[in-house]
Amino acid sequence: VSDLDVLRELTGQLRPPKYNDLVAVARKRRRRTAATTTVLIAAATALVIVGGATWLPGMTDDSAPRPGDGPAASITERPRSDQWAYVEYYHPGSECEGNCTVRNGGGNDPDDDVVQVDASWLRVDGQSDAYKIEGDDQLYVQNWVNDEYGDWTPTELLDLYASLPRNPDRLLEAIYAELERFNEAKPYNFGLRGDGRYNTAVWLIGKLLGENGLTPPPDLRAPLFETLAKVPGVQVKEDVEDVAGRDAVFVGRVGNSCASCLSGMFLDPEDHTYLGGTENYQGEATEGWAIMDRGIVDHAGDRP
Amino acid sequence: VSGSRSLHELYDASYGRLVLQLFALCGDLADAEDAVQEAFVKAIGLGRAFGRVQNPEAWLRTVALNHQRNSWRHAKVVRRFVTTVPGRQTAPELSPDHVAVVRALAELGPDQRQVVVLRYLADLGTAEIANELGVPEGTVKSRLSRGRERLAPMLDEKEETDRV
Repeated sequence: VSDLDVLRELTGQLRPPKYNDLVAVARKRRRRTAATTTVLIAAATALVIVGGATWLPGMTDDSAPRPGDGPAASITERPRSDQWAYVEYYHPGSECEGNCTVRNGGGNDPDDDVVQVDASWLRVDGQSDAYKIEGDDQLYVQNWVNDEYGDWTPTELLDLYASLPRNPDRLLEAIYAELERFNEAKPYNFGLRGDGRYNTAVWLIGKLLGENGLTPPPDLRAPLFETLAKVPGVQVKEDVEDVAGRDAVFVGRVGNSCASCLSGMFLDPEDHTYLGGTENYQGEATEGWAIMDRGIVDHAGDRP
Repeated sequence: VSGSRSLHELYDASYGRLVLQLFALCGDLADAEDAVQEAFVKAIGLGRAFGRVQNPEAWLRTVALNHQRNSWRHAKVVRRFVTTVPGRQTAPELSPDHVAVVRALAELGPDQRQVVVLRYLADLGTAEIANELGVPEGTVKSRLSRGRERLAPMLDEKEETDRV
């Protein structure tokens, strides 16, 4: 079997493409699919009740608090399939020099600061999405490509909310099962054993609590927090700030970045509304994401 | 892998060995390179989500293998709509020994071949292989044992031929 070693000679003869060529390909694909990675995050905003008032399409009451600023948000009714979910998403860019910030960039792409998406709209039925790039007033609308793990239309996420059990133990089992289902359905082999399973569960709970913009109904919200507490290794850090500098509570566990790096989510300290998250919390949130604004609107390009 | 730098480092460190493993599994060097490049493009496209992957190299290998397995199904779509890495890479010349080893591997069933490649080219232990494939370690050991048994005579034949 040591004869297999003869194949190792080939590695020295390979002429791999430059890494930046691969980055360029990934960027072109992302632009073609409406900045998929950012739309992924911006996807699936829903109708919510904020501060006791329903936050609905066309609502113009400026005094109405917004998610992240106000008390617990919850779903009231389904949006129409032809409406659009809007999210404004803030991401402090690690590649940015000086005091500039990058919105909706982020990720492994070293040139992500080029992709400065201010705002994203996803049609509730998932047929189309739209985005605007910072410094460019043009609205880009195109067919939405749902090809990422955890990528849901608002309709799909509402259906998922409705289908999940309300008992925390059964909910945790359902979350693990959901992860397995996605893992089998997609060609992406997320680590679903041991820490990988627990980290991915925390990530999925974060998505259910608000990473996609949608917030769970009241009868699911409390079980989700109870379920989060049941995931082994979960830690809570109080009196912290999220990546946007807002008061927050951090909930997460040791992630994949390093032994002291926590991966998880920021919650409003009063009502535990989902504010954002990070993959690298070490006592300070220097990178991650924050949902700054969201809502349901009647047309792509509208803001709540 | 927490950022672009580490993914870039992973690319530099693992591209060659991943191509080698894919080549041993699929028997076509150009396809192997294409699949590994596709896996890295997907990893870059995932952005920060890739940081959640527990074992990045195993993830890349799985994505590359799936791409290679599924390429026949969506080749037309991919060619028409998906941006591919520009330029043409020069393929290394295969020696008779390379060809003989790949032919011998091709005689194995896919499950045995995968275990043999992961053990002897990816240098993974049986527990790691079991974890990556999602099968019990005992299954890995038995596949490995049967694979070795089947492979040895074929490679011996090659050596005999070489001596002649």
